[in-house]
Amino acid sequence: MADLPIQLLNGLVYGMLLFLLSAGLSLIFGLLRVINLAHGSFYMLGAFIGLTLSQFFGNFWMSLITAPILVGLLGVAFQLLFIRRVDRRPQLDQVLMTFGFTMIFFDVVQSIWGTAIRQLAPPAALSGSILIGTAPFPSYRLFLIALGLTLALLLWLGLERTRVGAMVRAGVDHRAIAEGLGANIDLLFTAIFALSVALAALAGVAAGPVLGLYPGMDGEILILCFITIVCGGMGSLRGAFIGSVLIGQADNFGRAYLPEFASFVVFAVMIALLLARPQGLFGQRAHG
Amino acid sequence: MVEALRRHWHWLALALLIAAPPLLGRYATGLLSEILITGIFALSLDLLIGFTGLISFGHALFFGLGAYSVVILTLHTGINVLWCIPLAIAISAGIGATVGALCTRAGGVTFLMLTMAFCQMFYALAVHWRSMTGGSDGLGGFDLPDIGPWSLNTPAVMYWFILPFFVLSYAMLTRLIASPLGAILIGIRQSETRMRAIGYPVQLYKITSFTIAAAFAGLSGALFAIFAGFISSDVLYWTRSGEALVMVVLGGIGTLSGPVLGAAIFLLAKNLVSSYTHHWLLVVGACFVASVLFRPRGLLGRRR
Amino acid sequence: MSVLSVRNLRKSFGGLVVTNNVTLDLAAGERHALIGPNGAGKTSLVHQLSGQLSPDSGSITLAGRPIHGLPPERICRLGMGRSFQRNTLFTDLTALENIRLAAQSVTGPRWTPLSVIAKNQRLQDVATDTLTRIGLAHRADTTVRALSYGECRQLEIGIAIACQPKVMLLDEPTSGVAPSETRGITDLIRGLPSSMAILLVEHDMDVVFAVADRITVLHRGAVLASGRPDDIARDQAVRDVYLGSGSF
Repeated sequence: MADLPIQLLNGLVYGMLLFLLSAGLSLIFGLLRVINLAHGSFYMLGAFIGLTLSQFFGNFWMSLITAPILVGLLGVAFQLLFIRRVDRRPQLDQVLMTFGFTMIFFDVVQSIWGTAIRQLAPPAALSGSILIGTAPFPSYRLFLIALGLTLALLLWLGLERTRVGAMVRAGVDHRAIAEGLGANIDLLFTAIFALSVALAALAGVAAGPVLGLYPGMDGEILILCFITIVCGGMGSLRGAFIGSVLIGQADNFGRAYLPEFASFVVFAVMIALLLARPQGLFGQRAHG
Repeated sequence: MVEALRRHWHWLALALLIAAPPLLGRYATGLLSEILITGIFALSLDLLIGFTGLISFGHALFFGLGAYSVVILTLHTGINVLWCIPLAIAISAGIGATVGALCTRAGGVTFLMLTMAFCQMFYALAVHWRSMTGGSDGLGGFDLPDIGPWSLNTPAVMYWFILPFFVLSYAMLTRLIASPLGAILIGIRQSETRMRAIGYPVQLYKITSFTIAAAFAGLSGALFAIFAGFISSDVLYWTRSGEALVMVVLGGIGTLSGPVLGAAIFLLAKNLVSSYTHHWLLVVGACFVASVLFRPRGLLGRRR
Repeated sequence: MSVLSVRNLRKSFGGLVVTNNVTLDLAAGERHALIGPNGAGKTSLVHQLSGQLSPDSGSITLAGRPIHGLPPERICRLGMGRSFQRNTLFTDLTALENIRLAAQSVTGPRWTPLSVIAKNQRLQDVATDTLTRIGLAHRADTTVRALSYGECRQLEIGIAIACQPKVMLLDEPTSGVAPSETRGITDLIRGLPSSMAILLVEHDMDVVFAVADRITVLHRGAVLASGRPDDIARDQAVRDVYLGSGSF
């Protein structure tokens, strides 16, 4: 397969986009024990708001920066007004409430932007390609890989090397302990939730030129995200990263070589992994 | 008198259901048929979430399997579509046992995600395997056989064909809940830890519950395909599983009449709202969020 | 021949050693108390005996069969019953239904989907019997949510009894119970069948001395002392560990 390096790079592109989404979702679950089905909706909102902003500013970079901020603020409101009311309740309540919101967000997006498939143009500076060996590879996709790796590094540093990160890690392991540490847990939760939403929105804008904007993009990415987290293990940043890379490769491999049954590669990977290790690669095994 | 009514309301309801078609007219009878079919589907999901405590977000999978089984079997083999129903149930149950065995290896949120993923897997299969499933255009065009002198193309006949399945499903699930097996499933929802500590192989029972729920969901899917005369990949889309959850919770989980009521309300609301506005998703979503926040037990639900 | 044998059991979480080379024997019918200050590793040890936790190394043998590392449901079937330190009851069910589930596990029926369990007279009788033995017969049809905390603790023990175990692990049965109800629970424990061996984890020394034939003291995950109650009470090392707690 002469184009193997190209396909591996493509897989890495999807992997990095998935990572931006899964990292946030996994941390939210690990820390707040909240399951947020509307995560895909924030991805979709980020993409569409990014589309409008890039038309408004005439500049992709501006929208790449401002869309996540705007959606992040929306995430803050969402967490304060709604998530907070169900985060101590049984998980079913959280599932159902956030599912209700996916319906609301879907309708809002369709009403404002319509149902046609939209395209987001990459910035002029990155619309060319670079030679990898003898094959051209779009520079924008290289940028996405770099973006993902950079954010992965920043998140890792944030978790491992800062006080706030230590509190987050403590909170993931033992909520009661984190509270006892006197940390302002509520503020921390809101901040983490906002970060997760902002990352999802960022992924939405960044993915725009590559994946396009269309109805149903929220559900598709949500499922992939879930598969990633299941494979990588809940609450683990490392798991989210490895899982994303794995699923990104599997998904791309399927698309490139088995177009009719593309998604099957991903599901096969998931099933195989689960049979071997039900808690995912880096997850913790629950005791009876 | 009131006490007698309370204890025997089932018989009254049954009588009303039997007498419905001439009272309701063609359109409403069709709607009621759909409610009964969806009621079976919702009941089967309640067995999982309300009684065994397994929150599945992929139950539409088995509805879809039942529907596709019936249509594909009858189109490819020419067997009378009605005789395909038991086969559809068997297929749903078989895949239910397999998927259940895989998903129950994990608990809680992971279980939920896995069920969603499996449902979506079959959705992708249905969309891409056009030669078998017709893709998103769907499959239809099979003949509806007559039952004796009556034609299933008449709404009232179709309704009276579906009604016994509904009554039987409701009765069987009621009996299951009251049975020794049912008591164990309920115990699992109450405390898995304690059930293990007193010697029950919990995972085996979870798989059993999953399989039974899949079987009933398969039945509802098969009936739906016969009722609609058509099936497409839409029924497998993940949001359908979510809608099923909405019905069960809205009506009251952990009861059996609740899900049926929830199915009725959901379908009626969908019909009503979409005739007034294109934004029915927004309305339903908002109502749903409100009900979760302010009345989580559902309309008929008992204390959590 | 001891009915429960623990040999060189070890368990650690990261750098924290919770069970440090514990060796313990329980004879058939023996009442053995496990005491120690908070953090001594008593509950972790009980979790390993009943299967909620897997030991890192060492062995646990129940009536001659190795059970270390087995899942809780297997260990229960082999003859181990336990009550939990924090109430782990079927909260929406009645007291009778709680006991009945345990009785059902022993005798069945388990897989029948068509008979009505409430009409199974044999199960009802067995469950009522056990309820009477633990003094809750008058609360048979009360939901767990409506029971008092003390009654819940009684039910905790009752569910374990209904499994007819050879060895019973009681994890702080009087924890959080009002002094007036402690006596009732102590009597309940004393009234358990003499064929049943009991490992009792407790903080309340009155209960320990009223019930125990032998006592093992745990400290920082290791066995500090083991012997008859009088000897333990006089043991200097034990007194040092408990100094200031006022328990002796």
